[in-house]
Amino acid sequence: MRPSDQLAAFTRDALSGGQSRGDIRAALARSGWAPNEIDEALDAWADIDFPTPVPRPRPYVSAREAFFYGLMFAALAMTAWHLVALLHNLIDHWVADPLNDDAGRYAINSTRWSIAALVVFAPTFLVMNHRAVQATNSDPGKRRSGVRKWFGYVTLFLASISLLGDLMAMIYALLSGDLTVRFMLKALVVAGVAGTVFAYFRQDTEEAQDGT
Amino acid sequence: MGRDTIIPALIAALVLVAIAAGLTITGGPISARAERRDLARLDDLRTLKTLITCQHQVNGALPDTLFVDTNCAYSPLGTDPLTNAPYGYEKLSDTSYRLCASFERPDLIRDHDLGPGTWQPDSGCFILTQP
Repeated sequence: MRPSDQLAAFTRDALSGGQSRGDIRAALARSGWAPNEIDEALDAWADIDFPTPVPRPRPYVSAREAFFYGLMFAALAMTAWHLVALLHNLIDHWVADPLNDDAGRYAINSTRWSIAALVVFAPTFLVMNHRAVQATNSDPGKRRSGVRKWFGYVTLFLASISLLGDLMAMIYALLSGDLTVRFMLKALVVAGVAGTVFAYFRQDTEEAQDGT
Repeated sequence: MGRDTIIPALIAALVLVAIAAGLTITGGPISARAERRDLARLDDLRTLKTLITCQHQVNGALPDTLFVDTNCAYSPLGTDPLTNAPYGYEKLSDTSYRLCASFERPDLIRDHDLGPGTWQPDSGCFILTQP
């Protein structure tokens, strides 16, 4: 049985057993449930005079959270991807290879795309992340949001795929005769960005240790 | 609490530095506009090259100066998009010639931008050969 099911079952049993809402709230709070989870469990039952607890209609998944975390993690994925792309282009520009002079306009255009992506998505991610941190600090129960966790892992998956692809392209370039200095610098960039993303998510998963 | 503020600050700093460095390479909107004008100049030079190739086939020799040739029925000779100056043409030999324009970002021009030829960054000219 999932923790939220147990909470719902307990609340129903307690209400039908005739316990007051104040007593149930106190018992749940002593057991470690967050205030918003207790509110949610109690709000599931209408506060009316009737022999058995009467359920209220409730939305199952929060659409607002789906929007918020979907946008936030998409912004994180875009930021990580284009930060790596932009830094790789910078390395290609600064560590010039005399044998490979065909970068020209194509590299400049891809650099411009990356700049545009970062200008839009990096502030989006930072602002939303700031608001998410504030919200979870004031209400620890929000860390248990299933929506947040699912979007988090989907983003982690996409970021991993993209960074592994970068790694693959770098190794291919090294094997096809690219400069070793370039390879080392690019590998450092991928490792740095990947490390930051994974550190961010480990912090997140440590905070949300309960089941699915 | 520390990690909540340090990692975002690091990300913001890194992104700002990367964007600034990227802009020094690509140039801002003004130099991008100059790059667009260079692309228009390359287009005009390509049209001139087609005209010269046609004249060479029709007359059996390269022209001494550029002119609108009714035999080749091409549109008027283009002019520089910024200064309206005519493009430079110079016959070097029976089979080779130079086409010149005042490019604003010569560092981005490559030898093959006009097909087979040699790009001279110092003078802003392509040396082309008529086979």
